[in-house]
Amino acid sequence: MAYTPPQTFVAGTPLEAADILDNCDALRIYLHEDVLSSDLQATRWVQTRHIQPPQVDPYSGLQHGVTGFQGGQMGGGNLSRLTFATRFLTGNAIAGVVPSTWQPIPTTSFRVNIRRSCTMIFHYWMDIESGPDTATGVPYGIASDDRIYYITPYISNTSAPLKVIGQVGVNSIDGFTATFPLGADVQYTMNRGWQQRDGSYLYNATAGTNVTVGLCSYSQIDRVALINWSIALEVFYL
Amino acid sequence: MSRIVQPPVFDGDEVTATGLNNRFTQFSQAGALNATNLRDAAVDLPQMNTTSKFMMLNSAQVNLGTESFDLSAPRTLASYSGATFPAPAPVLDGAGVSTHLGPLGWTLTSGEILRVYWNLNVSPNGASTTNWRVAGNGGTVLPVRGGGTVIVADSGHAWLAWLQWDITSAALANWVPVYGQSDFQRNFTGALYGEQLNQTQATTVIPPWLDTITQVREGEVNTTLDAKRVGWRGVSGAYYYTVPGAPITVWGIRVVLAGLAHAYHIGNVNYFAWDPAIADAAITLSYTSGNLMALHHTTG
Repeated sequence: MAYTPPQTFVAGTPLEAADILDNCDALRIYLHEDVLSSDLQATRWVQTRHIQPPQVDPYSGLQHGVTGFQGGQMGGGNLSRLTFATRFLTGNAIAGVVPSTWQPIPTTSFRVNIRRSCTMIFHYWMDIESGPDTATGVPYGIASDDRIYYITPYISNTSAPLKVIGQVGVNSIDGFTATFPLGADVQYTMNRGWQQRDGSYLYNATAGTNVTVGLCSYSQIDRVALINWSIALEVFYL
Repeated sequence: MSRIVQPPVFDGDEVTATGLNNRFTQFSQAGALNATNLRDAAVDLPQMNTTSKFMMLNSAQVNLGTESFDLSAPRTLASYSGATFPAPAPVLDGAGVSTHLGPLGWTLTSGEILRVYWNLNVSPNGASTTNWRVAGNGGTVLPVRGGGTVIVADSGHAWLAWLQWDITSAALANWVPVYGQSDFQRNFTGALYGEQLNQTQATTVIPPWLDTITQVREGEVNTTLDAKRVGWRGVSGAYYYTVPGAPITVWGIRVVLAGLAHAYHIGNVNYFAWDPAIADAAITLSYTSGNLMALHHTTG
C-alpha cells in the first residue's frame, strides 16, 4: 500500500524525536517491503540489481524468481539415472485391461508452489528402449508383436493422465540368439525397440496452488527403459 | 531523477511543521519512485503489474489427430505417385476435420518470439514392399562374401512433416509454409520436385523402414536382408521465429504430412525431393493423436 506517514506535525506543538523516528521507520519499511507498481515511475528504470534475486533449488534444478520458474534436470551427470516403465504395474498386458491410474516414472517430475496465476510449459526428452517381451499364454491376450507402451505428462496426479497426447512405442521384435555367439539377435540401435522422443505440454496454473507435473506410463511390455532422459520447466508469472 | 527534491537540513535552518510533513508526504505520490529511491533487490512479484502481459503475451495448445488408444482406428496417408506434387495433407481428427491452432490473431513485432512445439504418434507402413532396393534410387550396392552383390536400403527415404501458418486472416484459408520452410514444390532440376535443406527449418523427418544386412565381415556381407517395419512411434518438431522486419499477425498454425521424399546432393547443395517412382499402395503413413502448442512472448 502507498506510504502514509504515521505522524503529522502541527505548528506550535512540541517536536519529539520519537515522532520523526516513527515516520522514518515507516518510510524505511515502505521502501523495503510495501512499494506497489503504481508507486513506480512509468518510464523504464529498473535494472537487474533492483529485482529480488531468484532462489535456486539444486535438487530439483529449478530457480524461482520474480518472473516465475525455470530449470530442469536430466538422467546423466556423474551417475546414470536410468528409469523404467513396466507392464507389471499397468495391466500386465492382459487384453482389455487399461488401468485408469497410470504409473509415475520415477524421478521425472517437478513439484512447484505457484505464487501467481501463470503459464507453465513442461518439456521432456527420452532415449528409450523396450522389450523384447515374448511372454505368451494366459493371461496375456496381446501378441508380442502388438505390445505397446505410452508415456505422457500428468498434472498433479496420475489418475488423469493426458492420454490423448501420450507418445507410443512398440515392443522390439528381435530377441536373443540361442546359438553361438550368444546375445541379442540385432543390436538395439538397429531394431524398432530403441527410439528417442520429446514433447512439450502447456498448462495454466492458479495462484496459491502446489502443482506436480511429470511423466507417467502405461505399458504392455515387461521392461521399458528410459536410458537417458531430461525434463525442463518454464513458468511465466508475467 | 529522484522525486525527493528537498534540500538537506543544515545547522541553523528553521524547522517547521510544514517542512517536516513535506519531507515525508513526498513518498505518497503516485508514479514517482525510481532507482534512486529503492535499494537493490527491492522489486518483487507484488510490484509487478498484473493487468497487462509483460513476458508471456499469448499461448495456445490443441490436440492433434485422432484419438485411438488401442491404435485400431488411425488415419492413413498414401504415398504420393504423381509427376508434380500437390498440397501436403494437414493432420485431421477422426471426423476428417483439420486439427490446428487458430484463429489466433497474434501480432508479432520486433523483440518478440514465436515458439512452436508439436508431437504426433505415427506408424510408417510398407516395409515389406522392398521396391526401394534399387541401386541409385533408395538402395546401396554391397559386395557379398564369395562373390556377387546385394542391395540394401540407403535409408535416404523419409516421410516429411512440417509447419504451415496463416498470416492473412482469421478465415484460415491461406496456409503457407512458415518462415524458413518450403512446401517442397520447386522443380529445382530435371524431374525432381523439392527444396534445398536451408528451407527446412520446421521439418521433421520420419524414417519409413529399417533395412539391414544380418552379417558383415571385413567389408563384405551375406545375402540375408531384414526389412523391418518401423512400428508406432512418437515424432516431434520445434520451431522458433523472430520478426526480421515489419510486424506480422499469425492467425493459424498447423502440421502437414507428405511422402515419400529422398535426399539428394546436386551441385554441392543438399535437397529433399519427392520420389513418386517408389510409391506403392502398401507404402502409407498411419497416425493417431498428438499435441501442438505455440507461445508468443518477449525476448527481453
